[in-house]
Amino acid sequence: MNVYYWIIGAILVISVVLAIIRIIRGPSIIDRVVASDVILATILIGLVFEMVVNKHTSTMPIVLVVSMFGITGTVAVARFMSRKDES
Amino acid sequence: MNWDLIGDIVINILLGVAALMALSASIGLLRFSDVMLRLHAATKPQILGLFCALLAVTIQDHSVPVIATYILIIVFQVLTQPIAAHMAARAAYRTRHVKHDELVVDELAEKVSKSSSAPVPSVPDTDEEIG
Repeated sequence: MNVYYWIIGAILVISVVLAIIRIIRGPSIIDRVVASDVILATILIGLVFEMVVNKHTSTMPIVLVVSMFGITGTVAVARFMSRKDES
Repeated sequence: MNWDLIGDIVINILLGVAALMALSASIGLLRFSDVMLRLHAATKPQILGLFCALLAVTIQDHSVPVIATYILIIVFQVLTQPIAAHMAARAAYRTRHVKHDELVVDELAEKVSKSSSAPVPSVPDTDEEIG
């Protein structure tokens, strides 16, 4: 079971790295925002995964707060992006 | 029947599904060509992946506070992530980052061209809502 947990952790790390590659390469700022949303969701999954592995539930409030306020970054960038950004 | 063993197997399957959702979202982010397609890939771990991972926690520790927090987290995710995706797609449309030749139908373009008086669909800067 230990090996299985290491594999899951490696998958989560790989997905974060791929999303960071999209943040670096992304042609527009919207691509970067979407990629950072994916990183946020992966971090949430990683927190929950750590709770399952170590058999506790003390980071549950952190997951709750992050899932509540994860919207703010995306909405802020989307609202205040001007049309001049044609990159 | 050993219920602990069955619970462990279900928990590990759910964790694997969540991790694969995150991986598929990242691969989709890298492989897809458009903001809309990337949004389609990106919403998988936000709802289904988190849903599966939290279900694993609630199977492991099925007490009332954990289940209540689980329901709250799912409700907030389902409420907020569509708004975020909608805002991102709208900003991408207005900044012309959508590939129009790949769209099958574009109902927003008709609305924009109808509502604006200018012949070219002119998109206001930040404050007015179009769709």
